[in-house]
Amino acid sequence: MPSGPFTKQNIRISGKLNYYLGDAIVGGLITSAPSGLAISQGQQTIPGDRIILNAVDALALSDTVNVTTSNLWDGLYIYVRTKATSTLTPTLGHMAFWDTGVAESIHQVTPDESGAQGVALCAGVFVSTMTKGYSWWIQAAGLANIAFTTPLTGVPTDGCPVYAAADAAGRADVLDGGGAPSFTQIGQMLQRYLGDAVGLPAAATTSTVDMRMNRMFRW
Amino acid sequence: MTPAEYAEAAERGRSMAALALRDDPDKLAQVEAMAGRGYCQRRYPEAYDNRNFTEN
Repeated sequence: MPSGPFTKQNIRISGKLNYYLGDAIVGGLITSAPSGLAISQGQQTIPGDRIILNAVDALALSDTVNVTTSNLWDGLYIYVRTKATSTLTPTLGHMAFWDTGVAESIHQVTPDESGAQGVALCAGVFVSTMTKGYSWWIQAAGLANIAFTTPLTGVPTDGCPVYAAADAAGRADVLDGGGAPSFTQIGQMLQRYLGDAVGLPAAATTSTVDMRMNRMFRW
Repeated sequence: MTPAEYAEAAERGRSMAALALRDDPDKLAQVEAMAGRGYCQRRYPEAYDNRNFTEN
């Protein structure tokens, strides 16, 4: 068991990571009497908390009955709050972007590619379709299921680099085989690089990507 | 992340998986089929505590 200054109570899990609408209250609603009282479960889990799962942990926390197309994989996951007034709904496989309209300590993300930053401040990918305003885990690094845009800009191959598409839907794109980029486009490629495809991506489908731990700006 | 934060996050992930397995025998069987019972017993002893108590 953990020890030292970082020790916290055991995490209370309200549902499988990839099949849950999120916690209406940070840390999850109390489920024993008095049921439904709108206070947190003792704040064991707060936005910004991180967990690292190996492949077996990830399977243990995956709902493979209700979600047959998108298991969890090993990687780094962050507990975040979602923006209640976002235009898009947090959707499995789509990207989450840091919401700079609130204090950083709230660790709030939005599925919208809006604001001055566009897709620059990618926080990770939603591992479950959620209710807006609820709190739950997103994946920030590791092998992740990511939705791809349509049409793809480049020619997809197994192992090709994957970028944020900036298609206003929080999806990914591939650029291999495209024309010579300008300096601005090179900057965008550096900014939007997510990781490498594991398997052959296809337009308008979800595919696995090995997301790098190089995009974090909130540690 | 510092090494201590990394280690804590890994332990919290393992602990979270163990709690999920303790409450879900079907999932435990699925994970044992993937990783082997010996591995699961070493990595998730909490998942077996309840079972032993019940059997005894």
